[in-house]
Amino acid sequence: MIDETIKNSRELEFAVFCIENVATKLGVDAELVYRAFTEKSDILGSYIVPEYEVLHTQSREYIVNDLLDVMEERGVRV
Amino acid sequence: MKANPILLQKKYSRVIARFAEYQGISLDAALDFFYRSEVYQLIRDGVSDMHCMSDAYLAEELKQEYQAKQ
Repeated sequence: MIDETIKNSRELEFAVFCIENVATKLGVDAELVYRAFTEKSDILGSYIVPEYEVLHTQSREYIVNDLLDVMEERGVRV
Repeated sequence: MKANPILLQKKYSRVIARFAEYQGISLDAALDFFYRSEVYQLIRDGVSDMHCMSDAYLAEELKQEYQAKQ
């Protein structure tokens, strides 16, 4: 998978949106979700940022559930 | 604290972008520092109404914390 870096403020805002909303759904601190997306996996760089154009058009519920599915597929736990 | 979570998320991203600009680092590096910072914890927990401070003030606080840790 290709690791992409955050290129602009829209992608940055989306990354924060994903981190904060997954944290809220799981009832944990957002810092732990950030670490899960970056240290325990590369979900931020290989999924959230590259798929921004497609993902950001979806609902909050869809995005959060999709990210939880990705975490499960990759065996990432918070 | 009872800040609207959507407004708070937007504020986080504005502060991170401004901090990146102040410090001359990438958005990825700024995001990484933000989520490990004391400033983030203070904003998140609403300590001293930090979430009510301006974007510029919070970005400056992040910059000072960043420089102190270098």
